[in-house]
Amino acid sequence: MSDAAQRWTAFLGKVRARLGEILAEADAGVTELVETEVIDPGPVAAAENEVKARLFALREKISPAWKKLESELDGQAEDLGRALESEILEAVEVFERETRKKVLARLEVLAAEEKKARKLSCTKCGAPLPEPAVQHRVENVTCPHCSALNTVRPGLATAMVHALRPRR
Amino acid sequence: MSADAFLKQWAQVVSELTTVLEVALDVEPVGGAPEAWLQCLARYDVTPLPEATRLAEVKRDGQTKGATLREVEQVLEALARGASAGLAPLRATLTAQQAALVDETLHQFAAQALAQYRAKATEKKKRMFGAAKALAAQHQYAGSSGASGYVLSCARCHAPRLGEALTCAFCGGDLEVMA
Repeated sequence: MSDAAQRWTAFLGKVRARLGEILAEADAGVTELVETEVIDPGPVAAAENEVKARLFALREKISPAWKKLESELDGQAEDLGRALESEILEAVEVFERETRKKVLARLEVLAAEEKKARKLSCTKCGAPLPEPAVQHRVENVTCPHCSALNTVRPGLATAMVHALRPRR
Repeated sequence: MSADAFLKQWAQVVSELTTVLEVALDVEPVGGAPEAWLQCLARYDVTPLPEATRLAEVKRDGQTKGATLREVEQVLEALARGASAGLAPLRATLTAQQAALVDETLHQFAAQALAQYRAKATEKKKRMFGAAKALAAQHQYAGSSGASGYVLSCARCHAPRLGEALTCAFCGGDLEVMA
């Protein structure tokens, strides 16, 4: 193997190792973040942007490195670089997918807790209200005691679970 | 030495300095000795430190990246010496005071470059999720996450809403959320 080929292989190895490090840190960080706060979408979105920025910056390093060595290497070596670029883009998509799954799973837990804790009562007379048929959106419920029409809002986690759950 | 020649010489020094700092900061792993850095050391006639010394020094100096401070310092001193020699013809045209000022500037130049390098080489790596975690800790929707309800009431007679219509079933008044 030529000196240039060795340097190219070593460079790609370093990029791949860094990719693994970023993904490992991102995975652990997002898991912790989702446990801490998921009702506010801001923190997870900020984390996603940070991870994506790092991954795109890593990808951006490949092309300039190739330019420095391309006169000494063949097309097969270039393909290795292109493949790693695609691998990084794929990693971005997988990361986004996995993050959505984590967020949804946590929201489902919170929605179940909301449902368990929910005790609807008429805001006019205080009598217990029946649960509305649809729970993820604002519904009107008539008080069986005083006939007042209560407008019942869902909990945020319940509404968000419905919004994020993939449609079939 | 003409003003043009001086500026050309000075631009050359700045360009070399930039290259040295870039190569030094690119050294990976921290305190390592990749080919590009060894070539840089050789160019300025600086002997690389033994590996054990390099690793001990980057640890002692709290470096997070780049070549050792000592090697960079030696390169910068060599660069300043070279620049000083290159500017020698200028000195002949200067007063003693002006020549001393040029030497002083070159000396400060290397010291400032080293200080900047030290700052960058010891910069703590940013935590990936620092901002996100700080935002998460605020729990800004914590008070409004549960389910809630309300009854619209007539602004005029205070009767509750009884049907889908948004007017009072008793007096026809407008319904609104009562405090």
